[in-house]
Amino acid sequence: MLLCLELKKIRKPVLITLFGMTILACILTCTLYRDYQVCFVLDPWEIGTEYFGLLFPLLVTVPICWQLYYERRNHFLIYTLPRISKKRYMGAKWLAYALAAFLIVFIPYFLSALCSIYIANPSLQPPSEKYIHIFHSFFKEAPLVYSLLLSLWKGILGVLVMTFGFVLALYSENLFIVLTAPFVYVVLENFGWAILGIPKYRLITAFEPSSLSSAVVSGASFVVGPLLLCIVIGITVLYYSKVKHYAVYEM
Amino acid sequence: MLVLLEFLLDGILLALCSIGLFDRSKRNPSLLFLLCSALCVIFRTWVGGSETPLYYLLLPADSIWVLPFLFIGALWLNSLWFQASEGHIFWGTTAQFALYLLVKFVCALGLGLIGLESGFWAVYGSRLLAILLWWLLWETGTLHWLRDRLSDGDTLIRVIACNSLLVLVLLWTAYLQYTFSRGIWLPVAISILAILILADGLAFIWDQHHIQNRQRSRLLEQYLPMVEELVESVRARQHEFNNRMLAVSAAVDMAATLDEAKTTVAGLVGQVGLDATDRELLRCDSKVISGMLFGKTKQAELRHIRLEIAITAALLHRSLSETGWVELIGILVDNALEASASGDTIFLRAENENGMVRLTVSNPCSPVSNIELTEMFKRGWSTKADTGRGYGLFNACRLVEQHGGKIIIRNERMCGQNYLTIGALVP
Repeated sequence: MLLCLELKKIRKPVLITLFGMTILACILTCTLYRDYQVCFVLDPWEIGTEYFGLLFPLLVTVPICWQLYYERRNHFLIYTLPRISKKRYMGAKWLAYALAAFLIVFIPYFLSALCSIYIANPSLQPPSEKYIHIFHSFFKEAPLVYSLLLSLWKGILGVLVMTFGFVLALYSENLFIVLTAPFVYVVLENFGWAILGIPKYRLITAFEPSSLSSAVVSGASFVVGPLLLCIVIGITVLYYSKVKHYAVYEM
Repeated sequence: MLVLLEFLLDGILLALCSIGLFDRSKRNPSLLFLLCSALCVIFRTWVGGSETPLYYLLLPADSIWVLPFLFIGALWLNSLWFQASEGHIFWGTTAQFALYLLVKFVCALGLGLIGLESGFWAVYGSRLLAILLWWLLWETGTLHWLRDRLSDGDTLIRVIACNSLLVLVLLWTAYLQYTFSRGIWLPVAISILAILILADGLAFIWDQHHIQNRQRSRLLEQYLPMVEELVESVRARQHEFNNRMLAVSAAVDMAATLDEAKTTVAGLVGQVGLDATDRELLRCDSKVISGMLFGKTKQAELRHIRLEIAITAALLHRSLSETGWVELIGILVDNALEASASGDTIFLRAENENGMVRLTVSNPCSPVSNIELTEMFKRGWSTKADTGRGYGLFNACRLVEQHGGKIIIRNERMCGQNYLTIGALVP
């Protein structure tokens, strides 16, 4: 019941983003590949959704996290105290936001993959012998399962990035920092790993493993970026609650 | 060393645009100049790929992909530096970039037209001139006006700021690419410009509609309580009417002869019935106008002036809106009340004339010459010596003419004395 109420509060911006993203991803998947040499049925999907890899932090925070910020600012949170425990209310809120963030990433990616497999119908060229792709046989033999699993994984990373925005919305007094800091973090992290010469550990690599040559992508590529983000989220919570002594229910 | 001067000038202009559009600073404003310069350094040296200074003539970025990051940087700085609502910060930052690009464009273009499109004047002169142009805008009060409108949340200004930024960014990208003639920029630019002009027009229409709705809500709030008062007075009369009918019935039963019954009934029925003015007001198709006129009759009663109303034409669904009718009738009745003395009678009539509405308000007045009659509708004409008066009839005339109507004004002989009749013929 509480989950439904929380979902209802953010349904409009979430549905608009979801609908817009899905339409855009499907259109780009069905059109952009025409200027490229396509070797596999999922190639149009990777070409069409290339730009979303950088923008997804904005897409999972802007339509969702504003709501928690405004609930804090207009002191709505304080009025919930006599009715429900802090932990339960925040838990339900995070769950609703996580579900929304997951759907915002998962549905456009998976539906555009379906478009790539069943609608785009590109004329496939034989790949060169040197061509390798991450999880190559899986990518080639079972594109539907590959795209489903990768979309699920991207959805989970979307939830993780949204959690960063959620934590900022819990403590920060600046709406613009709440909404854009996850995006700025992803860009700076990307920049930082690239300067260090180990781009395989970027969060973008975990999100879009085909953005780098499969020779350099390893299992750690899927762990380091998300783990670093978890650490940053933890540090942010500690900084605000222990160092700055900010309280969630006061603003 | 000279490159540092470029960063500094760009940072100063960016900070000045910010200061011009936001008023209440939370922190030291001088630090903002330093941070804006730092922002320009970051985006130009670390993110920018080009070395040519002309690439950075208009913005401290050399690609459209860098611009959103520069925008977010400025958004953060503004939100940390100024005390303003989120809407003001966001749209103010949009306007800040539009203003920054606009002054830079004007200066660079101006210098380009006199043949100074490269060298010292293009790189440093245009930057100095842009700061000078900002100062001129500040001194003329343009920036204060823009800041107030943004702070009030004016939709039209927000849309114009957003569209101006998009157009200027488009021009900036075209300038960077030098491809207006050979790429796809021309059709794309024309399409975007057309969409933006359409968006401006739609925003303007929406804004006007919003203002009209607000005016109507205000009128309803003001005059509907008066309509309720009118209905209450009719209800009270209805109650009295029922009592009188019972008394008439009893009088007829009790009377011994027909003549006795006639006399008693005539005495009982004499004062029963709805007041003529109330009846006319109930007949009016606009409840807002009824409410306003009811208020005016009460106002006249207080001054012992009688306001006789006769409405036989429908006022709604004419070229003049309900708000317009209220404004017009209000001006005419107020003028008539001001010109009348205790014991006078004012006549208000609204009747059909060849498919149009003839609205007239007549008040007793000594005959007025034709020259005076025409002078009355000029701005500032008044019978009183006070300043700031004489706008009522001028506004009424303008309102009627804007809606294709005609003003009526004449001397009339009524009830054995001269009356001045002022009104309008509205299609």
